[in-house]
Amino acid sequence: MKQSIIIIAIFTFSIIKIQAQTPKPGEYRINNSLLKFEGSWIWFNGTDTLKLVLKKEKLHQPPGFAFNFYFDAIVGWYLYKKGNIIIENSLSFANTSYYDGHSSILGGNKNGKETLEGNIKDSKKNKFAAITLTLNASHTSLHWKLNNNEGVRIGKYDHGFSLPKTGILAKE
Amino acid sequence: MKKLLHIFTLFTFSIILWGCKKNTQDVVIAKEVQINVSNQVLKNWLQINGGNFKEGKITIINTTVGSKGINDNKTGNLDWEHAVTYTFKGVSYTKIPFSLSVNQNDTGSVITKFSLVFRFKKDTIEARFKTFTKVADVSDSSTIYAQESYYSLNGELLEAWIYKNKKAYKINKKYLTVANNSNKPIGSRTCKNIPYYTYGPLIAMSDGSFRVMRYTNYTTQCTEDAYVEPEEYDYGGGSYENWDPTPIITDCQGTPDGTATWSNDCNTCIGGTTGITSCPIDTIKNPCIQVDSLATNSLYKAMLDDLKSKTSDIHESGYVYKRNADGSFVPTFIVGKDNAAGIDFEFKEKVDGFIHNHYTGLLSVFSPDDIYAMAVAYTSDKMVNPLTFSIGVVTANGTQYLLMIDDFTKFQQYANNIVTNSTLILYSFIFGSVYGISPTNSNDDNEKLFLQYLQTTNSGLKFFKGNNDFTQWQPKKADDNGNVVNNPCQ
Repeated sequence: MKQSIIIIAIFTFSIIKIQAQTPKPGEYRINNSLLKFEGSWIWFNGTDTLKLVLKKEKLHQPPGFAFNFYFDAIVGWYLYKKGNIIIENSLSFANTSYYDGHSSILGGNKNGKETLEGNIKDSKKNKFAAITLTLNASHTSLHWKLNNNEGVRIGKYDHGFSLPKTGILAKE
Repeated sequence: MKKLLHIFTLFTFSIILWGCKKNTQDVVIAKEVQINVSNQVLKNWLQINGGNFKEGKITIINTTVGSKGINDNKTGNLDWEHAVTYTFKGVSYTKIPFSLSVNQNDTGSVITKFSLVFRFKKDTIEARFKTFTKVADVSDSSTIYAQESYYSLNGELLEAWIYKNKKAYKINKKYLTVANNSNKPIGSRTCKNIPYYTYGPLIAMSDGSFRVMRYTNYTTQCTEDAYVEPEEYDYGGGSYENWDPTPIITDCQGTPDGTATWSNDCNTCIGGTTGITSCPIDTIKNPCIQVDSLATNSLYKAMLDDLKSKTSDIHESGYVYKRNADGSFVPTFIVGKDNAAGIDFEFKEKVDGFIHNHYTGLLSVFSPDDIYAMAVAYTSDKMVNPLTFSIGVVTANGTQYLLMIDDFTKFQQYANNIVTNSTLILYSFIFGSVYGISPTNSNDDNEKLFLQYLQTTNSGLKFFKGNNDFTQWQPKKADDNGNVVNNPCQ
């Protein structure tokens, strides 16, 4: 009997879990757990500098979807300097919206976790890359990691990055 | 006295009104015969309104399109016994065949029929003399195969039509007038020529109008031979506002009484005299039929088997392929970088599809970039045939899926949104962060979420789930409750 209850409970939980991930028409999926990623973050290795600004923003689905829905996401801008040479700089747009088209990072976390997963624009390499940003326990540093996205890609593809592949950023 | 004058004026006015009303009623009688008109009524009408035709003979003054001459006397009898009454667009017509007193020899396949057509429209009866000439067989769709002309009962050409394939085109009035017996300079000669026109194949122009090569022929009294002078004329667009639209019943090939039928599966006319007995595979719009053909192709299955055996590698593998006319494959093997999820290739030419694998630790379904690659193939015109184009994935999780375009309008919009509007990053975010599709999910969860994602994006794509040996591909969708169910092709 106990076993049956456990099975039913697991089954019910599975259904709830899946259904909860699918947006409904008009739904706004609020995610306040993203607030912990907000702020200005900096990495410096003695010569090179990476500065990151992350903000939570309410977004909506792109055109063409079957219905409208809304969700929170982390939108980011960054400055990367190699010595005194600026490799990439979108920081001057850090006070704009995602829909202004100047942001460089878009990401979210699953189930309120400490790791943000998303995409970062690597303009020099003409591609988007997969980015993960993981907070430490005290939320004072952010572990940065880049990878190429999974999938089939058409045309010449540069597997390298113009940004550091990994790094630890400190909160400013 | 003034009062008497007023009464008299009112009385006179009433008489005038009554008279007007009576005239209107006379016309109403005509409306009544429209319902069940008798031949005797029409004969009586002809006696009064028949113009030069009262005696059953007509002299055609102007040439008709492609006629053999002008000022052509047509003398004969109306065959009242074979009168036919019909309606078209709410208007009633009665057609009386007209038999020539002296048989006119038709040349070759050219057959001309004559008739007198009455039209009962609104409150009036009208009649016109009609010639209908079958010029050629309709099997050649580029050829005008029939011409139809209408004359007043005094023999004046009023309207002319040409038929091509299954359509009738009204000839612009400005091209109906033909100069009579004019002196036309021909080089250094001066001859008395009587022109008539014949026409070449009808050509559809990009702006919707039609053009045809008009040849001006001269049945000349000149001692020289007649000659032909080509001219190009615009016929304008066609419509069915025919005065006497006697229906010509054809099959989809344009053959009268033909047996060819239109197939929505391949958007093609098949059977009859088309020479096509069934839809060619590369013209079939049904993705299930296309996928079934993949399921029975041994080379396609061998490629998928090969990719499955490589899912334990540390890189992705794939095949980009073209297909020969006989359905065989010309594959190109591609390999991704070690420990770098993803695989890339360039389109050097149009292809018929691509398949690839996901190694251990990667997604059990297609990734956003996989679908993006399909969208790029479409928007950059790299699909040999979007009807047959497919992409496939075989994963280390034991899943195998195919995608094909099912709704072209939706897919075009979807592809443009992702590629042209650069919204891939947002699509990817929704894929991973909103729908939660992830390598850490179970196969079933990812399949369910992926189907919901695919449907919500209005991608127009059809999703197929394969069995382990790739011999069966089942179309799937998520139902309203999010459950994965079969999704048969329409």
